[in-house]
Amino acid sequence: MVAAKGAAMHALLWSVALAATPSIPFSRYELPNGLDVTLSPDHTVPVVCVNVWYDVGSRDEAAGRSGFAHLFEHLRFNGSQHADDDYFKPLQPLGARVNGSTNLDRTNYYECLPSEQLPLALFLEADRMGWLLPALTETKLQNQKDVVRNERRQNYDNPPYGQAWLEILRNSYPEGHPYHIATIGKHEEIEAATLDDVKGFFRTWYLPNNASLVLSGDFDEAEARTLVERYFGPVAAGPSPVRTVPARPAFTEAKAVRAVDDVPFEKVWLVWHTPALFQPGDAELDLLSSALASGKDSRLYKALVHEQQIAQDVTAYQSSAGYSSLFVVSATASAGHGGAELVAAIDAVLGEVATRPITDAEVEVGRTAYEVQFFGSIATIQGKADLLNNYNTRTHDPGYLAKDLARYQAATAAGVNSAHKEWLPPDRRLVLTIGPASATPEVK
Amino acid sequence: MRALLLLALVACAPKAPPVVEAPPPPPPPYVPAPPTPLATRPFSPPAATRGALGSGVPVVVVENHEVPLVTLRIDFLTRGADVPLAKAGLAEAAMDMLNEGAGKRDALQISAELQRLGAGLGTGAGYDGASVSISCLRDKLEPTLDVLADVLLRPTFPAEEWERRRSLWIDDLQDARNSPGRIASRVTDRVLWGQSYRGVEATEASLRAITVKEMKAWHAANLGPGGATIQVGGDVTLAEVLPMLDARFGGWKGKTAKLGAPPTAPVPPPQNTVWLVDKPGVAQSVVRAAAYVGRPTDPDFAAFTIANNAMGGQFASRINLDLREQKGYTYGARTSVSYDLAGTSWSFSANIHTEKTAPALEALLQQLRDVEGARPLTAAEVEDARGASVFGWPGRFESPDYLLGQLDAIRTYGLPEDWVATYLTRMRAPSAADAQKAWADRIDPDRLAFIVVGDAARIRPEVEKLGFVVIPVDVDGNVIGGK
Repeated sequence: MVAAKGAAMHALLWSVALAATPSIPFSRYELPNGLDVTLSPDHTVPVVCVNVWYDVGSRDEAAGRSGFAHLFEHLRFNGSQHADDDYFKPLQPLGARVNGSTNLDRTNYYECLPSEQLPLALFLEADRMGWLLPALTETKLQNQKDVVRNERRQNYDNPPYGQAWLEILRNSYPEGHPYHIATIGKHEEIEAATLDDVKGFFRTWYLPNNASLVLSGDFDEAEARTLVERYFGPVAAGPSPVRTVPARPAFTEAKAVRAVDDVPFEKVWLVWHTPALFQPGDAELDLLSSALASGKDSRLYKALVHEQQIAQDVTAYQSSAGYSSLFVVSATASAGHGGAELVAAIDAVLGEVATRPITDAEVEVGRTAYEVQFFGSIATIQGKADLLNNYNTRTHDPGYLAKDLARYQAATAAGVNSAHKEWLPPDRRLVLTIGPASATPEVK
Repeated sequence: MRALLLLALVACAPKAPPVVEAPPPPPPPYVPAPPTPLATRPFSPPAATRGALGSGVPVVVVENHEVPLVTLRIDFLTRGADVPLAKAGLAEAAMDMLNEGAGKRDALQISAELQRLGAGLGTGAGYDGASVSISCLRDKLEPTLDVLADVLLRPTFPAEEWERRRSLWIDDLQDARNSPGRIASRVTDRVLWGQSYRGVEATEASLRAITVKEMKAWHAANLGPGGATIQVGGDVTLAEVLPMLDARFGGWKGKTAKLGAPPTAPVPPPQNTVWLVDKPGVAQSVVRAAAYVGRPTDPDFAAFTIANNAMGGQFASRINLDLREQKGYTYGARTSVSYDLAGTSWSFSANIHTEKTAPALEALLQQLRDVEGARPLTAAEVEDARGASVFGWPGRFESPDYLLGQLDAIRTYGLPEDWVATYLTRMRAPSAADAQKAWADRIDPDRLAFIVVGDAARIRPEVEKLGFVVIPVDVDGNVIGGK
């Protein structure tokens, strides 16, 4: 029950040097109601993960209803017609791990539990897919508004620099763009949600033909097919939702925004609009971020933290999303230093790429890091289910792994350098600074 | 309006009288098939393989060949409390400096080599131990071990790198003293422990007092093979890893740390006291309540952990269902039990909407009092709480981390060697009455340490109305106006 921050949707990588070829075995089929089903057995431990993704995120909210997709996700843990109780109650005593999350593009749910309890998990997921509304009440809605607003307070309002992601989206995407407001939403718009909103959202988006079910772990395939058909077969399809993909916005100038927070140091975020997940340039920008800020010997860390000692930390990431992405470089000032000094130092490092291009060796380091990260993400059945479902939800192909890997394999230093040149212009970007009310004096 | 309505009615009027037919019978309501469990699948936990280096250092391996990844950790028993207060942070500093220069490489070269290998290397020290660890692809294990051996056996402690690390650490202290969540954790330890054990934390002054010479001495005194154990998990066997380790650690010599006496559990705090850190303007109060609750080897400890699951250890627990799902005061309220050398500590943790701070404390106290009065734990609650642990147990073995973590706890906290093997037996034994008694024996709502980081002007009067004595403390846990 998490509203994701701007966690980069890091795609994964394969390099020719790999000793083992990463792959996830699976089979896929579709129910007559349009539900995608992907089965991926793994018999390591007697546990099965039921993993359901809906192709709906905060980008699909109505005007004035920011935060609603995530609020809706919460309401799906408060009972459905044939299981009208807290969703955790029947599952927890079986040793299940249960949760869900919402981001800009999609909403997902899972329960991992002992294999013999697969029927219960399928029954519960199917019931809230088909029969959620009869169990809905005003009391539940009001309670979850309070809970979600406390989630916002806990993760965005209270933590130092917690408003950064909200400010980045607000200042990068114009009003009316589906990414203008972060998934967690505004307090007053969460409060404004009505039962009719819930009903409309459910009928528009929570359809078997807008969902994808993955089972991973220790199960019998024939048995699973029978059970999936039994519980999900009766869920009625609806008209497939249509959405218009907005054009990628572009900064037309160097835009500077400063926000005040109760923090001891200034922190800066440099932000550029970049290609969407899986589009040309996306993988190159991932590799560029590694060369810039991964490890003490990376270009930005070495300059800002090690040599100049003006920053406590520096990060760079391609925050990939379905419509379009953001490339972000961020650094926190050390005592006695300030945001403007950090921005100048970051610009110097980025500018130097023109005269001292990213090398093959630097690209290879990034490749290797993604390779290890890939193996880490398929080390568990839950990781496998998420990966298969991410691919299926975004590309309609759970086996997209091979294509995802191929784009990193194909990336070259020349490609990384040209992505840098094309996508990170110093005169068209956002610089967000969050700092104390009285700015830290600059020390030269 | 009326005219429009009339028009609409006219427009809809049927041209011919309708044929009256019996309405079709409503379809029978959909009733899903009741989900019945399938056949239980057999499970036996993976075994650890044990061996030793030629030098005698024990090695334990938990294999997992799902993906070609290996983690390896060398653990040392050390005592954070053995460092003098004026040098607080010395053990952490010495461990942090290991990868800032070692063998023939400087800090940047070590990092670059690890990046080239796609490997991770971590070092750290806590209250009860210190460790160095690596994670890497199995075919990069040998070159990664080369770096690890340099870092552990041949650190150079360059003075200019310590200057850098210290400066970053002092910046981080400022961040820690500003973040509500981090303040709450630090102040809780300080309230329970004063200036000893977990209450001791590095300060800017203590960090400035630490010298490179002292770090070298700490390294020599504490990181010898005598107190070390090596844990390996993942895509490698004992037979494969032993020769790799012997080749690099064969000549490892050094002292065995002389450990001070382990700490004993702190005295319970005074009755009904809230230590309050003022953080004006915050949207939520960070609320903690804590107590020491015995040793994990107490005969009734399994009963207590089951009771804790039912009370606050899981989502559908009394406290979370009340504070979150009924009252909406918080995004989540949990209680947890953790081990240290002094025993086990229980704590409650929640971030509460500022204006609901006092009502949330009142609701928490009500839950804690009810369970020992009007509403003892029911048999069904205890079975559900037990089930979460018992039936969730096999899944924990999916990766080697759980078993390795348990083996580490056995050594660090002196638990019985069969601690893992007896887990299910221990958890299945307690009755509902046992769980109830183990809880009531340990959790006295009047003798918990309550810590609140929040907007004092808005919350203090109401908290005092609940009968609490409020002690204002600063972000380091020092009593304001105290001596």
